[in-house]
Amino acid sequence: MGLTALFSAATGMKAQEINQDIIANNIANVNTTGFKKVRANFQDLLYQRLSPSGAVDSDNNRTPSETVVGLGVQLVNTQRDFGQGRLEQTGKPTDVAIEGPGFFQIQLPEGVARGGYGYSRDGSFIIDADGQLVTGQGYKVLPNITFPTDYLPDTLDIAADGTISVGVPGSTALQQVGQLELAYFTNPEGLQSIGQNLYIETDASGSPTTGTPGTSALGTLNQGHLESSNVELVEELVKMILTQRAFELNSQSIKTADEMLQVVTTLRR
Amino acid sequence: MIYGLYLSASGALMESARHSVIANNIANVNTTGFKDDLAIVRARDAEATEEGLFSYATPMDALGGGAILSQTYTRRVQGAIQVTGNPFDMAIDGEGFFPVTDGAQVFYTRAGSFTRDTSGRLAMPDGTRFLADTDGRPILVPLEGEISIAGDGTISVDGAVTGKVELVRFDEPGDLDKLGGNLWADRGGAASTANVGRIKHGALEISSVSPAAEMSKMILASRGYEMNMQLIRMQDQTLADLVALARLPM
Repeated sequence: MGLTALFSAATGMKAQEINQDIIANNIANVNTTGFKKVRANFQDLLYQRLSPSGAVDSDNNRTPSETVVGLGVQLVNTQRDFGQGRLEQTGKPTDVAIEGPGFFQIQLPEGVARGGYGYSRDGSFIIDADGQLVTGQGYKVLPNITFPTDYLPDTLDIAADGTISVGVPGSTALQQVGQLELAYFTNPEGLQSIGQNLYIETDASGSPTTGTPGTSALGTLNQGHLESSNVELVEELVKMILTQRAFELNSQSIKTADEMLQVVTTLRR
Repeated sequence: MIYGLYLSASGALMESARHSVIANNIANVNTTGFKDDLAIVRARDAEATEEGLFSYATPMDALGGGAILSQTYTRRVQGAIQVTGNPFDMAIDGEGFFPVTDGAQVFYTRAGSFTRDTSGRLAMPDGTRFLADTDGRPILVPLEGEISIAGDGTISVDGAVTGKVELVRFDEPGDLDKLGGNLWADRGGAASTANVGRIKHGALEISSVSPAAEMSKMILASRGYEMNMQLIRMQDQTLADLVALARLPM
């Protein structure tokens, strides 16, 4: 009956719907600092095997291939592309961009993540009232960096290796106040996104390896820059067009299957 | 007269099965490395002939038994290659397959969207199968460094060769069974590592489904179905007329 077609077309529509949701989220984050685009991976579902290959027919001929009817498609995972985003100059001394695969380590509120750490590519930091380097949401950047209360904001210097120095009144030399560290994951695609430009570690991502910036595994820091989203608008729009057409095509399968069923139901006059 | 009803019914059933195959192709229009299936229809012999009871014993048997979906043929055509830039995406330009293993058995796939897991294995998106070497063991890549994969499958990290992706090719279409999950299973056919094609690193092979072709096949299948149903209706009407004729007062 046309029913297999109905269900496989429905799986197709559902898959395209999710794909569209993912593309829409990518486009929504086209201006999000440090955002990494996501793509959906699809797999064909199981096959209904009507006859195996090599079956023998009435004339003792072996069929050269099997007879299978597929049951549609499924979303298998969503994969984040951690490719480098463009570095944009902002000139703000507390903005830091990572060039390379590392992540900033962020202290999260208790109970949010394993070990209490979050990981981020968004380096738009702020110095809060206590002189602490924090993220836009107010989470502390790790290792803790405290600025002296009388530091001179214009002298703030973050070196490529993460050394942070500031000038204080009455001294001509810069004073080192802290050292930024980066974390590296074997499988960053296994990180769990928790929104707010933050990721947390999972069994799939593995434990982080931390270290001072400057190595190829971690990357280097660029003060006065932010990493822009790696979403390519043209690419997403093309994917959106394809997704919409694929959705329409699947709806045609359903319509046809429905028409076939209608022919059956009206067979007897 | 009544025999024609069965012929029309077999035609309608065949068209319905054909439509299911087409619907599955369309559902997989965005599935990485998917190869579309072609439904192959064959004329049926009369049931008696099929069972080997008679061989064209009566003119009615010579009419045959309508049509049946005789096999599905997976078209091994090259899909277009889309550049993604992901470090563990690979596309095959040629006839080879990636061997993947679940630890016990080796399967084959054209979908080269892999992810490096924490032990350095290259996992398929569902995480249950890993890119395998010639011995059927998962290929291990270093956990750090810039990975590059050459056209012949040589994996190098920061310039040093660490391993090789060895593609496999099967000559006969019947050598592989389609399992779903972008996988094929070897049916004991002759696997070869010659003429397997080239690997394109940072790219994926898109589905081979042609929407226009599937739509026209779908129209044909649905019209074929309608025609068969119309014939059933006509034969039913003829029978009804016959019965009505018998009831006429003499």
